[in-house]
Order: sequence, then C-alpha cells, then structure tokens
Amino acid sequence: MRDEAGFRMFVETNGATLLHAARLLTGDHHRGEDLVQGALTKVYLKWDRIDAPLAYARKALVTGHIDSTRRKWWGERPTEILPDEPGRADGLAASDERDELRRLLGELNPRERAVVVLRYYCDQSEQETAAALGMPVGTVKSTCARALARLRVEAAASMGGQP
Amino acid sequence: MSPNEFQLRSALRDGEGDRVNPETVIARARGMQQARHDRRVRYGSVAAVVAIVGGIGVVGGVILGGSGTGKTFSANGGGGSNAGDKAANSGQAARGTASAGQPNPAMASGPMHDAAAVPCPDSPPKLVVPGGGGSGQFGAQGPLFSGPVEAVKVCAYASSTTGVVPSLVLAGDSATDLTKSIEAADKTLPASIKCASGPAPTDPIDRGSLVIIGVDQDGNPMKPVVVTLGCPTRVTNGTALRYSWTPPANLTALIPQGLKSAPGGGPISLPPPGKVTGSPIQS
Repeated sequence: MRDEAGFRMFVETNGATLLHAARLLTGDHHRGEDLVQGALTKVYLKWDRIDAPLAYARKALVTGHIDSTRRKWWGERPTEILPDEPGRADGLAASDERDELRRLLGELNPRERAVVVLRYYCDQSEQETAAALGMPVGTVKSTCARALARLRVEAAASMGGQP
Repeated sequence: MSPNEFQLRSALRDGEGDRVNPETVIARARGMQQARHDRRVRYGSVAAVVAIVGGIGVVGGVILGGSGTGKTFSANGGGGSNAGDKAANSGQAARGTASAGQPNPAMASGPMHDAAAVPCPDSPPKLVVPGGGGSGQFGAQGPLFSGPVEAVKVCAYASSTTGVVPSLVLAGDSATDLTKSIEAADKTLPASIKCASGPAPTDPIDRGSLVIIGVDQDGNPMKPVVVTLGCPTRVTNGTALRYSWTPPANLTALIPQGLKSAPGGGPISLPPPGKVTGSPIQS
C-alpha cells in the first residue's frame, strides 16, 4: 500500500519550492505547473522505492525540463498577435533588477538555467547539482561560471553600463 | 548592473509562494497508473489471442497431416509391405503433392482438397474400348481428359482388389505433367512390342489397374481414365485410347505387392520413373 499520507506531507512541504523552481526553469507560469505535476507524479509512482524523494523530484524536474526543450512541439508557434512581453527598454523602465535578472535567466540555455536554479535557488551543492543533472562536477562548475558571466554581461549591457 | 550572488538569489526567490495541491498530483498519478494497466491488459489480450490462434493453427495442421498419414497406413493394410511408405520414401521431390508425414496447407482447400474428396471406385470401371482396342476408331485419338487438370486422384487396383483402395493425390505441376505424359503416349498400337514373357499377346496381361480421376479448376471430377497395366499398357476413358504409357514408379508402387507379376511370367521390370512423383495420402 502506498504511503499517501507521507506523499501528501512531502508535497505540502516541498511543493511550493519545486513549483517555483519549475517556473524558473521554464520561464512560464503554466508550463512550470505542468512540469512540477509531471515530476511529482513520477515521485508518487515510485514513492515506496525511493530514499530521497526531494532529490528525485529535483532530478525529475530538470530532466523533464531539458527533455521538453528537445521536443519540437515546444518550438515556435505561428501567431497573429505578438505576446505581451516587455521589451528591453520598456523592461528597464518598468521593472526592477529582479525582473531584469529573471528575464535574463530565460535567455540562458536549458542546461545553464538548470544549473543556476539548482545552485542558487534550490541551494544545491555542486556535487548535488551534478548528480541531479547527470553531469560531472567540473561541467557544473564551468556551466555555472559561463551562465553567471552571461548574466553579468547582458545585465550590464541592458543597463548601458560595464560588466 | 553586475549582479552579485545575493541579488541573484533574491531575484530567483521573487514570486515564490504558490502551493501545489497534492490531491491533484495523486489523481493524475492514479489516472496514469490506470492507463498503464489498461494498456498492459490490452497488449496481453492481443498477445493471448495471437498465441491461441497460432496454437489452433499448428494443432489443426498437425491433425490434418496426421490424419492423412494414418489413413494411408490403414489403406495399405498392416502387412509386410507398405506401398504408401514406399511412395513416400521414394526420395523424389514432389511439387504440389501431398506428403505423408507433414501437414500440407494446400490440403485445407483448393484443387488438392477437391481431388482428395473424390472417392475411389470399389473396382476399376470396365470401359468398352472403342473398336475392341484397335486403333483408328472415331475419337480414339482424342483427349483423355476433358480439359485442364488442377489435380488428379490416382486409385490403384490389383487384379483382384478387395477392401480398401490405395490412392494418391497430385496437384499443380505434378498433376499437369502426369496428364500430359498420358496424353502424349502412343495413339496407335505399336507394330512390335517385346514383353518380358515373350511376344505381345492379343489381350494385355492384367498386372493391375490405375484409375486416374482429374479434377478441374472448379473442383469438379472428370471422367475416370483407366490404365490397365500390362504388355502393352492401355489407357482409355471409354472413347480415347493410348498405348504403352509408362506410369511413374510411385504410382505402380501403390498397387499391392505380389500382384504386379504376370501370371506365370517372370517379374516385370518397370521402366524408370517419370517426372511425376508423389506420395500417398488419403484414400
């Protein structure tokens, strides 16, 4: 019999963090919800067989996100109406540094974004991040350094300053 | 702006707070489990049906093949000689010929099935040979078979046949080749015939008979053709007549042993077998 009470407790405790991480990874509110639902469903189906459900959920989250970015149907969709996204100049005028950083985060590639989210939002160590992403620690370090450098350069450029 | 780690963490944490409803996740997971279960059941059902149908096919094939072999054995009696075995073991390939030991898919339906269903007469029909066996009579040189033959049933008779009649079914090229070879035999009595026991007698020495019943493409049996083995061998359907046709060894092997020798004469050395081959099946 599956320990549903334990799973409910796990979701109550960690669901919000995982949902926010999923939104950071996808850069989209609804796709983030779908992503976290899929990851938590995988956790539920293996609840009795996994020792570290939170780590498993994080791994399912980033794996699901990277997989989804490989699928064609997440690609560009033709539309007559442009989405209501703030342009750079408008964004600078209308948003603060946090919004700008979130926007720049969305311009990183999926793997870089996953490293940044796991390291700086989920507070994972380099080893844990490497385990979650299935890559060597050295790759995590280099990917993280490259992502932060891009964020600095692009943030400085968007504000018209120097990095 | 050059964000430091604190600013980055702060930016990443901005906006968090929405919760996930565990019931939604559990409902979704249960739906997924049910879908998986249904899929497994569906695949399992399909696999089971395929296995059952395949098993029925194999068993049916074995029963069909087994019943053919069994009937051949019983038809040939339980004595020391078994014409069916001899024909089956002749070692000659037989296209379109029912095999004694293996199920033949062609037996399930089609001309071979139709031919096998044709019963052998209890004794060879006594046909009045046109002109008393002489040549040159009206219709004597006509065809023995009324049309193209899809299969033939060959029934074998000794001089005094009693009980079951050994038989053989040929189909396809084997049947066609057999009928062609009969049709191509001498249409007139050869001027000189040398027999094993001396000059050709006026009446052929009876060494047994074969009755060949052709089956057309619609599965209808044709008029029986009677082959009277002797010197010379005589083939007739009551109208047309052929002489000196040499039946293949697998057909003569159907005739019960001990009756192929001429009465009072030496053993007949039959010519080498022709192209047509076969093995006995149902009688």
